[in-house]
Amino acid sequence: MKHRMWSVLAVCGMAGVAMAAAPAVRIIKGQAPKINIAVEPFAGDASAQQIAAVLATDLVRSDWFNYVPSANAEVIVRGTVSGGALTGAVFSRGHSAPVLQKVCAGDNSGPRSVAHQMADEIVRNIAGKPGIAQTKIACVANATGSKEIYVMDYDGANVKRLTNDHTLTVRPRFGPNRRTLVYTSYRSGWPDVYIMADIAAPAPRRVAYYPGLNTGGAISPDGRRLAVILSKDGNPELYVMDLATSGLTRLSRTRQAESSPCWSPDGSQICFISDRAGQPQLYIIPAGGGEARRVTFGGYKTEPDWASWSVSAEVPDICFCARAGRQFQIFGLKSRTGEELLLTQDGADNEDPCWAPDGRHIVYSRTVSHRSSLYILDAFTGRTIELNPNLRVLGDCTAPAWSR
Amino acid sequence: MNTRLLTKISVLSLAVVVSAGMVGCKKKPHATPPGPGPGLEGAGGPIAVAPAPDTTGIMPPRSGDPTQRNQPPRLAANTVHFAFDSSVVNPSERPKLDDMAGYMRENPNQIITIEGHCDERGTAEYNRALGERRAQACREYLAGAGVDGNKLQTISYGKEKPADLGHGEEAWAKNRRAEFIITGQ
Repeated sequence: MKHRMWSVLAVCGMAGVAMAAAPAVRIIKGQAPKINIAVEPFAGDASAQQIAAVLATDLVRSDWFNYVPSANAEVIVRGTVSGGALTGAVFSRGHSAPVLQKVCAGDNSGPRSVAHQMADEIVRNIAGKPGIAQTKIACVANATGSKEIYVMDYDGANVKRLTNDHTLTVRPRFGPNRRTLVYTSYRSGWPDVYIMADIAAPAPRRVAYYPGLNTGGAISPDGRRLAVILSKDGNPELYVMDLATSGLTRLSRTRQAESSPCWSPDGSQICFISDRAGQPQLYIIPAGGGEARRVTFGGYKTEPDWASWSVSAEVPDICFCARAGRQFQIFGLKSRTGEELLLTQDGADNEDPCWAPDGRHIVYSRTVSHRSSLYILDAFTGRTIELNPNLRVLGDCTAPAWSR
Repeated sequence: MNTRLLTKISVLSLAVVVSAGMVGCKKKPHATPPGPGPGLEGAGGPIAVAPAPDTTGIMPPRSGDPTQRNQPPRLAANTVHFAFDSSVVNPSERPKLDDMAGYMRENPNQIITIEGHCDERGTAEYNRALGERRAQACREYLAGAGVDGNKLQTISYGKEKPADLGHGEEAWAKNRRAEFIITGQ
């Protein structure tokens, strides 16, 4: 069963990535491979149908499945809910033995987390991809009159304000687990970098507070190092801090500005922005120091993020923001070939992209008439959706981060 | 034997003096000498000249509260403006910095914080770095004009605190700026 799915995906994947004509920059407009799936009503207590509904929505949001009536489904999900836990089973059409069976209790926070856990099991085992239903998204929002950091489920539900600094609190980035967050706050009066070890129990620790600018914190995939921008030596430069000792290694030495570091998935390299060549461009440098290699040419390019998982050679692994005409759009870069791809083009300013751990979806900030909200881009097909219209009560939502 | 040793020492000292001089030449004209600069007249004979780590522009420890925004009219009048995506001090802006250098000579105990700001175009995080570059460019100019770098600190707000809330070039030109405030006496 699983093997059959994989070959279906492989064939569709190759056929699905049709290209627009422009030579250097193009938009992926593919027919993504999808599996027809049905979720039949669950048996059990009062939350059973809520769990089934959230699960169905999660499967659609994963973009690996079409939600269809049982009669048309290749794959059918059945389940029983008891004592807050779901016993789920997944059947391939025409087979009586389940291809997947799982008991899901979620994180004990209720029916939604039960559904999210089952959704990730199905995405991993049936589609063979990393699931995102249990991930979190953080962002900056200004509803209180100050910029504070908020965190929510990956679908925009369960919004919670994490900071109460009454000032500028910006640039959140998750660590390698789904609990740790690094960000910049001006709460001391100056821009400093803080780490919250567990967003469930916010207790920020200030980790970089040198004279001048401290910002752009990004925790390495092994959780031990922090890439950070500091201007203590008279200019914004890229450093790596050993989080156990606070020892610093300086990686850049220019008369221009460096900003916005992110890590390669194996933690061996850092991609960052420098305007040493006149305008901001992407560079890649060994994380232990060495020669920086310029990887983009021309234009005005900022805010790279490196996917932790590569979904396909057709989908870029680094996303960034660049000026396109009078607007800013989301672009992708294939780090192995240097090919750049335009991923959004909708008349709005689209900025601050960040990958989901499936290497397929990107959360970004979309600004129209000076109002900003969060959108999700499917880098496979170019399709975009608003993350959750309910988030508008937070005011302008910017600088999103997706947990790994 | 003593003579030979002395000759050796003087040759070495000469080499030290020469290389110290070269290090001095290499420095940018407006470098901030950290403490006892590359001087040759220190107490106690030949100076151990290290291969001069680039300490140009090292920032002093933080001082004061930049949120209080103590900005007398003379400082407000010296707000420096910049071109789009640039941290180069334009010739037209130099008289303001020259006046700031004069102000700081008249008030040698004051600590001045230079705020760097940007217009609303582009991402917040890159603009935070660009704003810092603008503040640092002013700091370098003032240090080159003889102001003590230890009295100059910087803070970047990027595009977070526009002077003009408008959205056209007129507003943007006002917002690409470096401002001076007093954060200590």
